[in-house]
Amino acid sequence: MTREQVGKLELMVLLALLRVGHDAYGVPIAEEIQELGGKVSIGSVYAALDRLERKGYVSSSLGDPSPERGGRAKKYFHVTAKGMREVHDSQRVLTNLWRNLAVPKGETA
Amino acid sequence: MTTLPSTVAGTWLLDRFCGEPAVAGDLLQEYRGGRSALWYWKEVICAVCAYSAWTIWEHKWLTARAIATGYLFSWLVIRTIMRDIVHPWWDSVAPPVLYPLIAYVPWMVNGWIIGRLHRPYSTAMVSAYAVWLVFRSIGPVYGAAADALAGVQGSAFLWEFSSRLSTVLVMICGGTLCAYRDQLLAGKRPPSIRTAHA
Repeated sequence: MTREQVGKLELMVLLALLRVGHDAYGVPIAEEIQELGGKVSIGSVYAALDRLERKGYVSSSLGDPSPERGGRAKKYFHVTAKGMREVHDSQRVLTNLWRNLAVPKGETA
Repeated sequence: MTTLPSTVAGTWLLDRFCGEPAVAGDLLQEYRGGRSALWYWKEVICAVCAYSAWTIWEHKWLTARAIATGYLFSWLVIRTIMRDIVHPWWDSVAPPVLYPLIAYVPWMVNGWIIGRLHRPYSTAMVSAYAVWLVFRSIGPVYGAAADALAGVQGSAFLWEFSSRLSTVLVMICGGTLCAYRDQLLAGKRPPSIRTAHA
């Protein structure tokens, strides 16, 4: 089975999903990323979650429809075991790449 | 609970152009929770763009086929049949000023055909062809604008700009009607069939 690549936004969404924990849906995930300095819209978070779900890194379940949501159900997301492995692999690779790397502040390529 | 008027159009757009129904619900809940109309519309536009861009990226060959289909149709029907056969005939039987009324019909049909042939990604594929049309219009519109600014007699910037803009909008309307029809038909099916098609 081939391992599918995870992009920067997808990794951010995966990590935010883990930070939010239970009852994580689009808005809290987007807010978590925004509070930590990332710039994302709710639509792009859902598009990333859609991709992650197709890759098997997250799973989703539907809540009950409510009037304040125009009769639409909330979609809750959870990280799967495959997703957890991907998070750990990404962390390991990125940590190794950053180790002993001196990047002067404010310097651009 | 009633739906706020300013969110009706946004929800409609999301239902047509965004593949995830939960997005419309999230945005509606946030708007009712005190977010501004500006925030709501920014999120609606971002969601539509994000989903269309992702679908186009994921289905590059289908996108190329959608653009080729639209181009072939416009060349065959609009540039050949309409211009060489229908337009001269129309001018002989009806006031020429009324010709634009029927000239846009093939563009609507073009959008419909692209949507019809590229389900379930019809809205994204119609958007891709719309982007292609806009891209192709840059040169002629820029040339007309340059002529108008240079004071060239007979410059047709306003005509060039408005006719190309309305062409794109009419084509998108055709594609949207096709997607809307599909959604209506899907809504009439029993839930078991809808799940099997999803």
